[in-house]
Amino acid sequence: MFRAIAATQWKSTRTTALLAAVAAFSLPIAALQAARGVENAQMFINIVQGWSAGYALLAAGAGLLLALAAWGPDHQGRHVYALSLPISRSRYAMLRFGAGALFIGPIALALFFGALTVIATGAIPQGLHAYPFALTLRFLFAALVAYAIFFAIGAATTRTAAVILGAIGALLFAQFLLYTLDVDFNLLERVGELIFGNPGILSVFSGRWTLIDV
Amino acid sequence: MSSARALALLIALGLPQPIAAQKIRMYEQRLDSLAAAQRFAAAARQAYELAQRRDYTRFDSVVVGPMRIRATPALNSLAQSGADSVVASLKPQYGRALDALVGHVFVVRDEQVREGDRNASYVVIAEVAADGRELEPQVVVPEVGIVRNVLLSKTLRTLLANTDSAFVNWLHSTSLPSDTASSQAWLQARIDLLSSYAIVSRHCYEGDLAACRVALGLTPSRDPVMDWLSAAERRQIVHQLDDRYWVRMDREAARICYGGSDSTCAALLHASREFLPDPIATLRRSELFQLAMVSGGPGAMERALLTRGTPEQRLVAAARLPADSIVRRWLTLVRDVRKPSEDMSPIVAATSMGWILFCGALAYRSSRWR
Amino acid sequence: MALTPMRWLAVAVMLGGVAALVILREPAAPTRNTSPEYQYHLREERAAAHAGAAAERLVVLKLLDSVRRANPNAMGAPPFRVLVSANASPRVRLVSERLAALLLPRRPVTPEVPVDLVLLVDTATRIRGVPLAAQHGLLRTDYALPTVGTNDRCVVLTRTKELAAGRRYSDAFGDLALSKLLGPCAYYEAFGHPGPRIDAWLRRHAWNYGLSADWNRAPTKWKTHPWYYGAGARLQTFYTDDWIMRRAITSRGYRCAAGDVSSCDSALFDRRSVRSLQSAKVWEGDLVTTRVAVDQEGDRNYWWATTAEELGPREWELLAAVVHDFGPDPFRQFWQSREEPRVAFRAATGHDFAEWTREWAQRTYGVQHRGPGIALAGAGYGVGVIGLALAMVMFTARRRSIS
Repeated sequence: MFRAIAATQWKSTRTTALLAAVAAFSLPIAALQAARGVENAQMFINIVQGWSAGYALLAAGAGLLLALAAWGPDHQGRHVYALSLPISRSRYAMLRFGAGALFIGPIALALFFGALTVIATGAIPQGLHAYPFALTLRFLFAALVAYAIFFAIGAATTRTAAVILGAIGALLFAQFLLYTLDVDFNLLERVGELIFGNPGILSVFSGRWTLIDV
Repeated sequence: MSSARALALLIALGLPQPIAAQKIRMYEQRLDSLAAAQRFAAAARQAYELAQRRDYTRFDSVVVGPMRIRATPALNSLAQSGADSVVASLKPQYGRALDALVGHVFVVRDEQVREGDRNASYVVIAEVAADGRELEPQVVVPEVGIVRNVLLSKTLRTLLANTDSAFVNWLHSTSLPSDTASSQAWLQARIDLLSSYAIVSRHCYEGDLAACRVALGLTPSRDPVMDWLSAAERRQIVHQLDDRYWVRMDREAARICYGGSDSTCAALLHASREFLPDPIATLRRSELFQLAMVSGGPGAMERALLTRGTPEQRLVAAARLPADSIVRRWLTLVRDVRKPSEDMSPIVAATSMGWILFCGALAYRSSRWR
Repeated sequence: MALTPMRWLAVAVMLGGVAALVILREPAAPTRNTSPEYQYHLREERAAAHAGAAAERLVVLKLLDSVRRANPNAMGAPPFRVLVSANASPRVRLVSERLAALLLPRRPVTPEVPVDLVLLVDTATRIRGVPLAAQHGLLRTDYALPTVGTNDRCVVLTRTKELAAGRRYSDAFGDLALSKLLGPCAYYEAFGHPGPRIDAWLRRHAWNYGLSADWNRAPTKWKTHPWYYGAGARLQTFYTDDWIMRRAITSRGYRCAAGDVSSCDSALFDRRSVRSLQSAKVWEGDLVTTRVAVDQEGDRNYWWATTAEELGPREWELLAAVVHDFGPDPFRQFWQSREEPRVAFRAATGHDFAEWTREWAQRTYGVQHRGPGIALAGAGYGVGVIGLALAMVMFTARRRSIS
């Protein structure tokens, strides 16, 4: 059953996975190219570190697109096929989850090979070290977290999605109210810290994503 | 006698052998040779710069009233139109004060700047010193408006530099105003007064003219720590300084200050005078003269620059009003000027309608109801 | 043509290769200003810097010489003295009295080497025609170390200035100034002459670690100000916590604080003459000079700090921390040992110097991290999010009917 689901999911996921894999391979190389020629080691690290957002966005983006691709066919067919299968609905959802998560692997592997390419160029300044395994594992983990979140949203009803969007909207509105009432409390900053700070709920996306460090 | 006194201020008790005279002589010789090397390097630099100086005698001479410009022949018309515009715009307000430009010569010449694989033509505008050096050269594109603005800026800086240093320090600006102030300036002044860290600014906003004179620097303050700040503010600033620097201040005295001793807080702040910024931005002082241009009419800045005296005397001469009246008018503008709301504009309306139509078209095309 | 897995792999490899070829190229050579004008200015600046440094040293030698000539050696002098120059104003004399009152209670009962704190007002602006740099800060110090085998005193030559009326000398009595004022002389006073190999190590720039004499106070943690991590900065630095730390410490020091003991060892014993802020230098055998006044540059935890110190902004209190942690007697044993510093430290304290330094760096600056890892708590949260998402999916799936 898992193979069959994976095979059908492959058809809707392969293009996305291909583009994400090429992007993942290119990202560390682009970070290196941006920092090449810089003589100061600390500046080199700062430039490479500046690409952190790229890794985080790619992981989140890959997770999002894979999750959407996982549920796409079912949403189109209004879940009729899924509900007609002779397995429990929750088990089916788990199989879908597993099949979609499988395709994060090649993307992470592409990132790893990109990191190895960076090391192979020999352009890393003396005294600095590369962390290809740590970077790949983190990317894999972050993509999995993003995939799980968007998979859950995708699996939910329209009402659930509306609740989530409404919650985000309420947060923005609350901040606006505080601002107009001249209350010295930065709600968005606190929420941002809770989510992305160290340690935060989604701190896997923030912080240092540098391939090269001291 | 305290133990401290018992220890201190005793001379003629033992210290080790004096440093060998030979060692000192060796260092003196070393210093002399390094100083000679420095003089040689300076002379070499000066010789190089002298060799690079341009021969301005071959340039065209542009004279517009008191303004003198040396321009390369190709840029003669650009320099002429710029000078004409500057003198024409400044003459009504600055009048005879412009005569101070007579001793100064500006240059407008071309400069080739390498951009990639080609040379681009720019214009250099500078004042020429007596020894032929170009002072503060500015490189700009050869456009009439830009050249005119640079010449205007340099003219105003030159006029200001020709006044006395006390006025320059008080104004705390590198240039003089060329025009009256916009409504945005009064709005910013209001924000400045209300958000100032010093209580004297808020008293000014409440209508205390004496406080306004202090905040604007018209009345010199002999003790800013006491004149500008309340006791609570003094304590707060000591707290901020104490927190910012790794207890560079006298810890014991700081503790007494926090305990409520205002005199101790004041003494600590007196030690840290350099950390006490002006109550409001010194830019507001230029705005007083911009206001004087309105009330004093033509020749206001001429009277300001040709009057010898304190900044207040210059201001009174410019505005033809008593200082208190000027300050009162300034305060009235600061408190009363309003700007039109920017909540809605045609652009915002058009953009919103555009998005509504776009989303509506997408919804119309949705397969959900086809 | 269907994109089978093998074809997918082939296309991916091909596109990756193309991407690598397109992105990777030789970087442009760094542009340097080679204009003749710039070269002339550079030469002049360097010549002025050399002359200025030589002038500064000559001033120190002459001041020290005049102090010593005015005070020939005599028996029975107190172990700690505060001397003030004859041209000092009554205000400066009051400052010297206040300093004496603050420092005297902190003096050891039986000092090994006597110390003189000399307070001078140096009004010279030029020496032999060479201009002298203006003094920043209130107490600029140089130290004349005693020669081993003699009864020399350790001299703290302190230059201050006459402040304008209305200004105060408060900074001279702050914790920072008082902890750094006696500098190396405090170690001689408390622990005597260092062993020859310890002395050699100190002269190889290691006095930068021994500028604080405040070993009786528990060291505090170096920390940055919360507003440096305001909303804008947090977003801009992608919620990293260490960007100020990385500016304030060298790469080697950072590795030490991140747990690499070999880097700590290298920073301690292989310290080069890096242009650090304090830059404690030994010259003419027995003179120690620093670049900043003792009342200036405290924690330097500001984001615009551009000078990275070998072991961070608190490296100048490293030896004081050793005394505080292990006590004066073990430190004296280390200090006076004839062994090389690593061996002497282990013999005196039972610990490895580099390992203790790592622990000190982590205690002072916090444990630093290298590479792209995440905190354990962050990973835990991530696992929790995945679990929560799966639970939601199963709950939703159970309730799903034909939609």
